[in-house]
Parts: sequence; C-alpha cells; structure tokens
Amino acid sequence: MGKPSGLVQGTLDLLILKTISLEPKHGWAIVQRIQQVSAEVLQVQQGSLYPPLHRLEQQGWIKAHWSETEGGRKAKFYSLTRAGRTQMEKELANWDRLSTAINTVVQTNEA
Amino acid sequence: MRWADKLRLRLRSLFRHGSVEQELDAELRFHLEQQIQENLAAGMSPDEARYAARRTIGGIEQIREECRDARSVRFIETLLQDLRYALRMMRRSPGFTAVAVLSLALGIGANTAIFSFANAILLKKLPVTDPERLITIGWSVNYPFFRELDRRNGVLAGLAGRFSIDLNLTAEGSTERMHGELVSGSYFPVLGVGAALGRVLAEEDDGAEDAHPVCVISYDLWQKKFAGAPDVLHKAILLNARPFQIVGVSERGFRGGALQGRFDVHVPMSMTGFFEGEKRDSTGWSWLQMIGRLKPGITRVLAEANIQAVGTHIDKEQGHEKWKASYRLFPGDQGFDDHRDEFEKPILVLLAVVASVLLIACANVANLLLARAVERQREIAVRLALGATRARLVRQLSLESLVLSGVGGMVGFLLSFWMVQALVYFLPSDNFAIGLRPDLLALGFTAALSIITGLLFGLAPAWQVTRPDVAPALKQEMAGRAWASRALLRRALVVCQIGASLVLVFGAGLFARTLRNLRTADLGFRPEQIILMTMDPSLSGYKEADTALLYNRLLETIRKVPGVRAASLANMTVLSGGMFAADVGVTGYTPQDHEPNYYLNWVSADYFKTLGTPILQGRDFNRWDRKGAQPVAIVNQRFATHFWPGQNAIGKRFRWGGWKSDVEIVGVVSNTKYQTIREEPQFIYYLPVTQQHVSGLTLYVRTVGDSGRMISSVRDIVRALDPRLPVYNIKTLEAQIDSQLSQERILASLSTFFSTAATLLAALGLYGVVAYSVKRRHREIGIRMALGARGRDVMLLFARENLATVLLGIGIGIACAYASAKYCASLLYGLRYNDIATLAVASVLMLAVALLASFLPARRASRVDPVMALRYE
Repeated sequence: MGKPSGLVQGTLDLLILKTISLEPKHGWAIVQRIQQVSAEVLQVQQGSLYPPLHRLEQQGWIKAHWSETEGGRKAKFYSLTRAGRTQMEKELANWDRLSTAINTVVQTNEA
Repeated sequence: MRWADKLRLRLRSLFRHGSVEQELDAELRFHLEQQIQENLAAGMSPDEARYAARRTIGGIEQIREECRDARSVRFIETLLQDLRYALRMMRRSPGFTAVAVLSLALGIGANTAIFSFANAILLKKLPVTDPERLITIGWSVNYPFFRELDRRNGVLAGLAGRFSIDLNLTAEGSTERMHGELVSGSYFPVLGVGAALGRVLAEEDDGAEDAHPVCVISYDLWQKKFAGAPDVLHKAILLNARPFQIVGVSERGFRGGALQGRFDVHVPMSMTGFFEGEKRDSTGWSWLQMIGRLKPGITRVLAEANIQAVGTHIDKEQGHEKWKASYRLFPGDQGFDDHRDEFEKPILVLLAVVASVLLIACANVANLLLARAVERQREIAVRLALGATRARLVRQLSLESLVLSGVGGMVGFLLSFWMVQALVYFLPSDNFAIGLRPDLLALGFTAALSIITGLLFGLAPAWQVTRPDVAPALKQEMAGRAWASRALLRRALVVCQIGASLVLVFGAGLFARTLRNLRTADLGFRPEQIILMTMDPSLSGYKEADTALLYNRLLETIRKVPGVRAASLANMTVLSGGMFAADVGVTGYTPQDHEPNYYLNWVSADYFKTLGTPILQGRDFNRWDRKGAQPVAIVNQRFATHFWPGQNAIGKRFRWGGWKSDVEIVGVVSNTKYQTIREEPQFIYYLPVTQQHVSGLTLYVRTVGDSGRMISSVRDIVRALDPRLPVYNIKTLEAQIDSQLSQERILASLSTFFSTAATLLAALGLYGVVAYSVKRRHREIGIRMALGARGRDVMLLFARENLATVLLGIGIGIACAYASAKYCASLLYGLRYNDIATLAVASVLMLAVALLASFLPARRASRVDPVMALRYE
C-alpha cells in the first residue's frame, strides 16, 4: 500500500526532480503534472508523494518555500537546488543507460 | 553551504518539532482541497468530491509517519524521548536516585582523584623538547669525567650535567632562599629549553673557572620576584652575597631538571667553586648528575652498554676503577629525583582500591535497578505486548542507567576536586608544589568511566527484565524461574560486594597498623617537643671565625629562654631522608666486599641530651674538644660492636678523611634511626662541630609548652643576632617525621575511608536484598504465621538464608585477601601481609555489619500480621 503502482522502484525521485526542474511546483501540481505528461499511464498514489519530497529536501536536493498559487491560496512550493540539478542529471544518465539496455534486450528477444 | 542548510533542516525537525508537523498538515490540507475543487469541476457532488479526494490521497496518518521517517531524525527523536522519560523516572523516585547517584559519584570521584594523582606523579613529563628521548645516568661523576664521556660516547646526541644547590638570592631589597642548579653549558641545548627573555646559558658560560658570574632565572621567579619587569636583565642581584648578572629568563613552565622540584636559578658550572668550595675540574669528588638525549634510533638498553664501557674506561684512566661504578641508564622524561619509584606501588594499590569501590557501587546500583525493575515489570510487559521490540526496551533502560551514571560522573568530577585537595594535604608539600588538580585528561577519564559503569550496571538488569515472558507478568505473578534466577543474581552481587569489602577492610587494617607501627617505632630518641631550624651563615658572607661565634652566641641565648630544656646543633637532620656517609679506617679490620655505609653527623655538645638518646658509655662532647685538641668521636652501639666486638670501644681509634691524627672514641650512644624509620640499625659516628668548620647547621631545641610559641621566640633570637640571616626548614621534629610518613598516611587514611564506604555500600546492598525478599514473601510469611510460626521463627528463617550469603561472601573475601595483600607486602611495617589477627578482626567486623543489615528487615518480617498479609491479595 502506498507505493506508486506500476512505477519502477526509485524512479519517483527522478520524476519529482524532473517535474520541478522547469519551475517551482507544489505537491498537488507535481502529481497532476506527472499524470498529465505520462498520459495517465503513471498512476501515483497522491499521498505517497510527500515522504519522498521530505526526504529529498533533507538531502538538500530540493528546497521548499511557501508562496501564493494562481488562485491566491498559500501553498508549499518545491524547487530544485544546484545540488539537486546535478543529482537529476546523474539519475537521468543512469536512467538512459538502464532503459537503453532494457530496450536492447527486449527488442533482441522479439527479433 | 549545503551542509549548513542540511544541518539547519535537521535541527529544525528536531527542536521545532511542532511547527514542522503543523506545516505538513497545512501542506496536506492544501492538497486535499485542491483535489476536491478538481473533482467538483469534473461534476461530482460535494460529498462525492470530498470522499474521492480522500481516497486518492491515501491514509493521512501513514503519510505523516512516513514523512517523519523521511526526515531521518527518528533515532534522535526517540532518544530525546527516552532521555526525557529517564529524567522523569529519576525525579519520580528521588530516594533511589539519590542513593544511586551518590554511590556512583563517590566511586567515580575517587577514581578521578586517584587518577589525577597518578597522572601527576607517574605520567607527567618534564616540559622540555621530546622528553621521552632523555635518559639519566644513575651514578654521580666528576666534571672531567663528564666531559670525556660526552666526547667519547657514540650513543648520545648530547649530554648535560647538573647539580642542585641551595642559595640566597638578594634582589629588590630582600633576601630569599631558594633552590638552584649548577649546569653545564650543554644543559639548555640538550633539554631543548629556550629563553622567554634574553638568552639561556651556553657553552661559553661554562668556560674558565670563576669567570662567569651569570645566571638564568625561571619564568616563575621573574613574575614573582621581579613582577615580570622587562628590564630584569639589567638589575643587580646578589647570589650568596656576590653580584651576578641575569642574562635571561627561561621558557615558561620550566623549573629545572626535576619534575617534582623547583629550581628557579640556573648558574653555569664554571661558578662551582664559589658555591661549593670545591674546584669544578677536580677529579677528587663525584658530584655531577648527568642527563642525556639518545641519538635517533638508539634505545636505552643499547646505549647503556656503550655508556658502561666508555665510563669504565674513563674510570680506569682516572685511577678510579676500584669504585666499580655502574652506569645504568634510567628514563629521563621526569628528570631527576622523581617520585615514581616511591609512589608507584601505593598509587597502584589505591587505584585498585578505588576501582573496587566503584565496582561495589555499580553492584549496588544494579541491585537497586533489579529491585525496581520488578515494580516496572507490568509496564514493561504491557509495552512488549503492544509490540515494542526488546532491543528498543533494552536501549531505553540502558539509557536510564547511563543518565544515572552521567549525573553520578558529573557530581563525582566535582567531588574529585575536593578529594585531590585532601590528597595534596597528605603530601610532603614543598616538593609537590606541582599543580595537582583534575585536568582535561581526568575529565575524559571520568567521562569514559561514567559510560562504562552505566553500561556495566545497566545492561544486565535491562536484559533480564525485558525477557519476553509476557503473560505471567501481566498476571502480576512473575514466573517462578525468572524470579529465582533474578534473586540469585542479586545474591551473587551481594556476595561479591561483601567479599570485596572484606578485602578492602583487611587492607585498611594492614595499612593502619603499619602506620601505627611506624609512629610508635623505637627511634632511639624522643621526637616530641623538639623544634628544628636550619641556617647557613656562609651563604650570607660569614667567615669561619664569625660563624663559630654566631653559633655559640645563639646556643647560649637560647638555653636561657624559659621553656627550653636543651639546645644543640647538628649538620644532618635525622629522618629527613638525607644522609652523609664517609669511610673510616680501623687497624686490624679488613674491609668486606660490600662495605656498609658509615653514616656521619657533625654535632655540638648536648645533641644527645636534646634528642633524648642515652649515652651508654663515656662522655658527651664538651668545650675542650676544639681545634688543635685530640680529634674525638662518639659512635653508636652498632658501630662499636661492628669494629670491636666484645670489647670496650672507649679509647679505641680510627682514621678519618684527610686528618693527620686518628680520631679517638670518647662515647658510645644507643642506636638511633638515621635516614628512615624502616631501616635496620645503621653504623653511625658523630664528630664535634667544634673541631671542623661546618657552616650549614640545624638547630635542635627541646622545649616544654607550646611548640608554635617556642618556634617564634627562637626565631626572634636569631633575628636579633642577625636580621639578614635567613632561616629555613622551620618545623617540629615530629612534623619532619610525619612528612616522611606521607606515603603511609595516604595509604592508611584513604584505604580506611574507602573500605568504610565500601562496607556501607555492601551493607546497603544486603539490606536491599533482604528487605525486598521480605516484601515479596509477605504472603508466605502470613501463611507460616497463620499456621503457628512465631515471630522469632520467621526471623530465624531469614537469618539462616542470609547467613549463607554473608558467610559465602566472607569466605571469598578471605581467599582473595591474602592474595591481594601479598602484593602489598613491601609497603607494610611491623607485621606480615598474612596477619591473622587483622584478618580475624576484619572478618568479624564484616560479619557484624552484614548481620545488622539483614537483621533490620528480618525483624520487620517477624512483625507481619498474618490476617493483613493474607487479606492483602
């Protein structure tokens, strides 16, 4: 319970980092964005987003501040730190390597 | 920056716990509301929207919990929680806390104090460069020998010579007596000590004899006597009434070549003749002590062979091979005259004593914890049943004991300052003016000790009470087996306590009796009511004739003072630890291979009368024994029977020193202690001060009445004769003897104190065990009494059970007592380590205390009202 369904272990961090890399976002927006971009393929149990957010903050990869939303409500926005950007790039490269490898294996089997 | 941010976040999570949680709630609320709006926009009814939103977000409480874990301060958080809990537990049972903390504080404080003492005497080093590479050579030599050895040896990077002297320093309008050192030019470079001001002494200062009246003073003297004046190098000072130039101030902290000494003035050896009356370059006297620095890579053992070989060779060249000198090398990290040998064993004994006290205290606290744990059994069982892990509970219980030992450690550290003060009081003070107080090292020691003790007494009980046999505990009935094993553990602890206490009491008895034996030992004289005062007129510029005149006038005046029974002079102070020996030649006597020392003392008439030593045969010195008359001597009994067994020694003669005519014996006195109380009777002879010029003498005055008042009136007399003449070592002979017994006094007093403390702790432990078992067996007692047992029977029942515990403890104690006392055998006097009387007294004492401690709660058992006891359940 609580684990993102259909999500490869450890990739939620990467998704979060990538999602807020363009602009600061609050928790709800991050969930929406992930589902939107993945065309609803990736389903995130919404509440399970928060523990990783807090962990990433403790690790110093993202930072949080309270700010007003477009609707004029106060919300906690998360943005990437410089260390977080480096980390994201590292994880992206990892992900590329991993997915390429898996693709190769899978396609070879099909042929 | 990133680290600082992280730290800030962690600290915030830790200490702003509430606001962090609130923030998370706000964040989640926002999320929920946002989702509800989204759902409403999608066309759901308000209720549906709220319900769907709740479902998509998941369990709020779970998220909170996971976020808390994500903040990764969980461990510290629970630790703080446990800490708060532990402090609350301590506050809740102040009696238990007070007993535990105080007994631990006593144990830890005592260990810290003795450790500080050990640190100062056994571990501290000279404040010089690389003291570990220094060695001292255990044989005094003459100056040319020292030069040759320095030049020829292949193992030392440098060799220095030193000789300690007493001198009068006149500066800033007053004269003070102090300790100084005559040093070779290599002294400061070899030690690696520099100057705080000006320069230190160098090779050129140790050039032609008598040509270099210069000196270096210590930083302390500079501060005290000259108030740290920067122009001290230009000040005119007098050393023994002769002008000297101060050329420098040595580095701060350096006070000469002996760790436990205070040598504030350093004079080059070129001035030896002026201070000692002997030429520096003479090969006729062996006076100089050597300290050297090993070459890199050379060990002390390796160096010793080389030094011995070279030394023997030089001796042969000087014609001294018959001395068979042994050039042994000793560690030089404490310089000369260290007290390591003297105090090493007592300190180790004391360390063992205080360690035992601490262990006994630990056993006590463990015992109390075990008893208390029973009361908490239900609490712990409930927590186990609710899913707390055993590790978690052990952690919490251990933390509770660590808090106890931590507080005990803190109190103990404070206590140790006071204890060290008390310790210093026992020391022969003037030589131990070192800053003896607990320092950072001692603080670290205390901290380590607190942690170790906390774990020691905390872990076992914690492990025991968290046994996961939950069900019986919840039913408020401890499983029979658990109870039995716990009771056994508690009894075992008490057995050890009684055993250890008995060993300590036995040791204290041995040391106390040793001290008493030394104090009441037959010295051969009566030390009560004698005051001492030392002076040396030659240091103030007196010539021979004036000195004799001064002393005569002094004695005449003092003898007229009311309250003075007798007054006299002597060159050596008895039982000061000092000695002066010189060979004698007796016709018809063949010297043995290992000739004993023939001790000598220069004394005036009435010396034996003053001391109360009976003259067995012949006469005392008198005023006809003057220069030019027949040289005379008085010898002690041992001396007389050694050279002339079975004969009358009066009228016999011996050759002495460089004197032309033989010395004739005119009196025989009974044997007296000379150097130490422990010594066997020695060979002693006395020569009259009237036949040889001896400048430095100690005045002995036997008085009636108050010694303090007599001291000041004798001092006034000296001052009236010459106000500029310094007198020193002013004290009573008893005080002098007492200062020699400092080691024994420390051992006797401290071991008595600590063994008393240990016994009380053990008694407390036993009391606790019995009282607890009485409480637990309340119902059993009730049944027994209901069935007809009388109060006395119940008491006997408990007494029998405890007697076994006590006797076992005493038995183990007796077995250990001899083994540990054997190690202390060399510290005892007048009794053997296996003294049966002392052991018997100690055992009976222990038995009495233990029976009393178990009697009190057992009596309470006999007063149990069976009706109440049975209705209670």
